[in-house]
Amino acid sequence: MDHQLILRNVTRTYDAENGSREALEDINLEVKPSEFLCIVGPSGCGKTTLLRMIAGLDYPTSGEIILDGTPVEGPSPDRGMVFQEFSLFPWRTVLKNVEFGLKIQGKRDIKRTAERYIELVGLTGFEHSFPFQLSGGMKQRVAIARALATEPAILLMDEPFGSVDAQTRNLLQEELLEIWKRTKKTILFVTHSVDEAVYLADRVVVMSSRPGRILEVLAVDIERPRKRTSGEVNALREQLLMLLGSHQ
Amino acid sequence: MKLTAVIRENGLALLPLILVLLLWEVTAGYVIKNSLFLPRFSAVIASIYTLRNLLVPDLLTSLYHFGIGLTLAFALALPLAIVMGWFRPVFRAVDPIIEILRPIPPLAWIPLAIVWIGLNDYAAGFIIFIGAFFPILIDSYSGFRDVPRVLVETGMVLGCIGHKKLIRHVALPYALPAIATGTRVGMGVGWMCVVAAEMFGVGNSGLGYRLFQKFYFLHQMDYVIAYMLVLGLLALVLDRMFRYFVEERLFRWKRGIVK
Ligand SMILES: Nc1ncnc2c1ncn2[C@@H]1O[C@H](COP(=O)(O)OP(=O)(O)OP(=O)(O)O)[C@@H](O)[C@H]1O
Ligand SMILES: [Mg+2]
Repeated sequence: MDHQLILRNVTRTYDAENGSREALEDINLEVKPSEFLCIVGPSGCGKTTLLRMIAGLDYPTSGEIILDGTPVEGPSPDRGMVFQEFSLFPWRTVLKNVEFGLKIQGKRDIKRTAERYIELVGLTGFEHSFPFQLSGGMKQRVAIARALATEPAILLMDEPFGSVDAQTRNLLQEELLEIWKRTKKTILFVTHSVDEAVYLADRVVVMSSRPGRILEVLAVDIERPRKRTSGEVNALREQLLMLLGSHQ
Repeated sequence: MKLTAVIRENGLALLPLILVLLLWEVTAGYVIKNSLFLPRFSAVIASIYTLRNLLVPDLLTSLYHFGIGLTLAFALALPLAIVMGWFRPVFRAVDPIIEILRPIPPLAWIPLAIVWIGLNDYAAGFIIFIGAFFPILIDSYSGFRDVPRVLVETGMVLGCIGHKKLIRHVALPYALPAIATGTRVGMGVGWMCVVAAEMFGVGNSGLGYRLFQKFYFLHQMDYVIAYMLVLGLLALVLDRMFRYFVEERLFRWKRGIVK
């Protein structure tokens, strides 16, 4: 099935002390099935807000978000989310964390499924570890496995690699691409690293800050596997940095 | 283990203890020489032996009162803590009442306990309940109130729709350590109420009853102190058992946070 996500005139304002504050203004976007879409923008431009609205954890003040023809109303397991901050349930082991969504939804054979996704993110052998026994990168891998386990149509990722070191980050990016290739998920990936966006994305959405608007959507027509420092990658990076720099 | 090894490992804890007991023995025996004012330690130990046939029934009665009070406290505090911690408006509505009732010393409830319940075991249990209820309630609702938003939202995107599922699968497990802490504190406070709860004639056994109504009445201070020691040691044992059976087993996952 084709999972198509459409955002139409999405605006979100929050109440502030002096009246209201526009977090997002008039966002229009169509995400293609199985697309890897990156969203970049300065801090506070509303990237998290955008993902939360798609996840159904927040709602637009006006405009609409449509998934497969129906408006999004509230969270649902067909939209998986990996949060910006660490979000593992600390009282559950790796296995139990990955099983969580499956269990809530009353799926069968949850242990087998969970183990499969733990293997997919390369954590076989850590099934019975508690989150406090894992490194930051490992925790995010578990979060990814947990989000994938319920087989969502769309995977929303909010700076998932923001708090790991550069080397681990590169590794995790490669793993994510591998997973994406295998599972054919639609991925919306928020980052404020231009490098990360160019390495991962089919298209990059560039946002401006306050209020958050879409400045430009750039297609990344560079063949995979991409080299992180090739000429065309650098040219695109340059272009993105310019776009971001001139609108701060 | 060899004796020397025991001493080497526990010396720092044992030595001062032994010194205090010796000091007590010597002061009582050779300086004060008045067993009403301060009986000797050895006399107290001997009393424990003399009283061995009274001790067990008294202990059981006290544990019974304690059990009534604590069960009641837990059974009422936990549901209230869930709704107070999880639903903001409930907290705002109920908290003022709690804060007015909480500072009232449990002993001040004795007259009401007698009038409402009568002179029976449940009246004693009620006083212990008053002592244990508030610590359990307050630690527990804090646990529910402090669930990180990201964990709640993770629960939601993974399919926990509605408060019931979120409470059961996210908030409750998160709050369990706080509930356990509150219960432990509540057990401590409840136990401190045992003597008072048995003082006003709810029956004719119990550690507190015996201590106050019998031994003190007859000025048998060695018996009084013997019972005091038993009260203290029993609380220590209860606390250790709780730690061992509940906290250490249930909260392995917390090790990274607390230890
Ligand atoms: N619940 C809220 N109430 C009021 N204002 C909010 C709320 N959530 C977000 N905002 C505001 O909306 C704007 C966008 O926030 P958001 O968290 O989406 O930014 P972001 O792009 O994810 O930033 P970062 O890169 O730092 O994560 C900010 O100005 C923020 O203060
Ligand atoms: Mg953000």
